[in-house]
Amino acid sequence: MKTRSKFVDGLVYRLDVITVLALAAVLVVLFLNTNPLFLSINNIYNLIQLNAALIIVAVGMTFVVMSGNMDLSGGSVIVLTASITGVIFRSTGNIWLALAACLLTAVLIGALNGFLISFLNINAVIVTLSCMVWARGLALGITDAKSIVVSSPVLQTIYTPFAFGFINISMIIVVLCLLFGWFLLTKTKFGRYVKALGENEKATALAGVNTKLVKWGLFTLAAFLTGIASIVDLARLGSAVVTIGDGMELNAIVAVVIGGNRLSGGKGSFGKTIAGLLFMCILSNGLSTMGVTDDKIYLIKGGIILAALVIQMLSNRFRLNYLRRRNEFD
Amino acid sequence: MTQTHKTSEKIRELLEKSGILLVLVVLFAAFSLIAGKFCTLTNISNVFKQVSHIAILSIGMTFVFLFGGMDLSAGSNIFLGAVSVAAMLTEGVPAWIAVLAAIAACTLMGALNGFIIEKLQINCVIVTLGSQLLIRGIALTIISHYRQWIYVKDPGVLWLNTGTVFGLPVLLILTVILYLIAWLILNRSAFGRRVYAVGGNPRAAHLCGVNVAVTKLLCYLISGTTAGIAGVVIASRLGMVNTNVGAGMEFDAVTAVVLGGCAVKGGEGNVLKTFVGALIVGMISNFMTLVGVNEHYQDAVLGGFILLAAVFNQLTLKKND
Repeated sequence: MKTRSKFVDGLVYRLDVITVLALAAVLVVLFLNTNPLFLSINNIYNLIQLNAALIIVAVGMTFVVMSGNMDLSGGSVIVLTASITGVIFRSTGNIWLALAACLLTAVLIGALNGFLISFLNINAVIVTLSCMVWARGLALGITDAKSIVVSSPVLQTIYTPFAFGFINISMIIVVLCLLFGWFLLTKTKFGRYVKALGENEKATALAGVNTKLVKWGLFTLAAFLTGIASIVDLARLGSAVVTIGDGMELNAIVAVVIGGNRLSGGKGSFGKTIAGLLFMCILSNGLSTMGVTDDKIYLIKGGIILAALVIQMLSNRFRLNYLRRRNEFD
Repeated sequence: MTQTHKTSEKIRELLEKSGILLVLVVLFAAFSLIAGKFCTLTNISNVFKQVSHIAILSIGMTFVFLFGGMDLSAGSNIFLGAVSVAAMLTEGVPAWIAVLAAIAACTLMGALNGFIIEKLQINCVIVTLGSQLLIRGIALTIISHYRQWIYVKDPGVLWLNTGTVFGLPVLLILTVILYLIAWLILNRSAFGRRVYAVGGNPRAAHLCGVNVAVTKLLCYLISGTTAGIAGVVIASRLGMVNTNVGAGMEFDAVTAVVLGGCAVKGGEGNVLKTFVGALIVGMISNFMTLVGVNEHYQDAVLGGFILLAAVFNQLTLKKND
């Protein structure tokens, strides 16, 4: 009796991750109906390849969400940095210079956003929302809303398999980013401070932590990771198209939150982000292989995201109630 | 000594109260000096017409901002309003039914947002980002039946744009009336008090017997309604609806509201200042078009303007403390 109850307790304790995995499983079944090849090795390989940028952005977003903030600028930072890379590559032909400029721009934007949010104390949603608008405007302005082909052997190697016929640099970048994020969050002071910031900003500051600096750092970090994602996506597409990074901010936030990380900050883990990413990757990949028109994609995606958020919220409410009752009776 | 102190205090107070008006006047003067065509009667009437849908949309955004919420689905909701009114007119539905039904559809979407956000307690930004997709999807599905392009031919609806009453454009009168209604609701009704109370301190409001969730839900609903009205207005103004309608308009509304000085934390703000904010947004885009700034750079400038407004608000707030 005792062991069974412990087993149930453990299940309920992990209910947030179980819920999102169950939702992902439901999606897989649905997509298998329209596309029998959905679970083929080829498609699973594509799933990871196509969503490399999303995974990298979600790593940074995990930090932002964990600190109780939100970053809506992801997609626009990607399109702006990719456009700058394209413009510089077109005029100089030097890919390394272009890539350096890409990362530098990303870091500068993150530093600017972080500065406004932490030191001037302006609402993060407003700051990143405005960044979303001005960065996209600037990107479309400098490219004149036209795609710029960036055909460089350096970028092409990112998606060229070099071992076992399927492992390529993009995968290694993704894994490194995940490991880096996990290490930073769980094994370093910075990670602790970020969580503490999400739990109670005032108390953290009173405990002697320079909260402003931590906040500034984490927005800069998120933007830097977005810059890397931009390079990976650029390598995948082979050109700086105007739609690069479209909807990235929504996808990344939803991935982080749907996995069970608390949006008001403080609670969460990388495991949850990865579970949420699995859901989002399956969703976007499934929708694109379903062969439906754009209007239906918007409709289905929006509906599924809202439904999944509601289900996750209900399951979390049940989970918290269960745990609370259990603690009372123990 | 005390006299001068009092005078400077008064000036400061005046600046705080009407700083936004001052910005409007300064910008107007500057734009008139730089672009000769700016300060003509036709152009000013144009500005009012161009800004009407943003101004109307900003009313709902003000309600939502007043309690510290956010509605990012407003742009998609405008699109839905415009598409549904145009589609119904094409199908031969009487104009007034089509207009009311379109507004009702958008109100429903606002209520859906409010329900998910307030009754189920999920963060407003993420919900309205999700419903942005959903609503755009619904509107795109409707418009795909008409080859992505619907003309509005109904004379009644078009009259909104071209008509004049006592020499004033109908759109201007409509906007002003809506703002007056919003001002009355916010400043002269119990509901308005409740909105401010919930924005200032939800817990205290709850303890005073205010139904916080319902108050917020109604604000999202109002945001949906104004989006619907703005959708009808834009359908009338453009004379046709395509898939670009409404894209990014939520940002214009947010800019107007933040320019108007709504604290994003909630509890502060004035809907009439939002109107001035919307006028500034309209003037800037009109001016940039006049002097021939590339449309993409126009977006970039407007995006930067949200930031400037937010920084300005923050600095004046600090002075108060």
